[in-house]
Amino acid sequence: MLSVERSDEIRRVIDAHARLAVNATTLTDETDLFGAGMTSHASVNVMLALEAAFDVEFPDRMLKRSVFASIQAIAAAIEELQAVDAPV
Amino acid sequence: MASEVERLQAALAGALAGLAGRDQTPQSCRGPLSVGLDVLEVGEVALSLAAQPERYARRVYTDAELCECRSSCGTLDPFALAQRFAAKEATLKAFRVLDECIPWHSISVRCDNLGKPSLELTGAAAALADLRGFGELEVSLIRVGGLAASVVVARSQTC
Repeated sequence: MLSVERSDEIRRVIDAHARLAVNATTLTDETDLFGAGMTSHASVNVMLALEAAFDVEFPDRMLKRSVFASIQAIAAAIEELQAVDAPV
Repeated sequence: MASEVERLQAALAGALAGLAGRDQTPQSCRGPLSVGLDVLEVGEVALSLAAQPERYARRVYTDAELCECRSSCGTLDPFALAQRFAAKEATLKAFRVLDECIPWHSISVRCDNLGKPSLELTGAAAALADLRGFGELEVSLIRVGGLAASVVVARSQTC
């Protein structure tokens, strides 16, 4: 289950940068963003905006389609990155 | 005036002719051709450059690409960058990438003094080309109105 705050912030980024024809509030957490019209180039802008919004940096190993394929997948990646950065 | 489809067809024919013209692979070792095509609105790149120029440029393009895409006053040309992004995506399509990790920096588009483009592969992209058996690659860069496009043709070698 995604936290509401994280899910809302990801949707805000998608609305601003994914260039979809629909509002991100109409998407489920599992909706295929590429199927919904996000281009490869738009996914770059989404990635950069996510990095700024969540203060993380996607490493090379995460630069693949599945990481940005849905809100759920993005949230999982951000959670993993923030866990790595969290103080022990 | 040629239509966009006609220009793309001409670019594909040019890429195929270029590959055939310099293919040193023995006839008996020539495997099937793989073709990738990508089209991108230049306006998308212009918006990215306007929003966060340095971060966008550094994450996607190699130093050599950025050097070739800068005007004499140091401004990045969105058209040239869009063509290179399309070439990177066309390469991924020609390589039949599904969910492999291929960083944008591992595919670099270079132009010689005459403006002829070529692909330089490093790291993950080079490894995938080896895995797929692609020995020869040809790339074309296209400008059509407000669109940038690229065609990449790869030939696999069977021996």
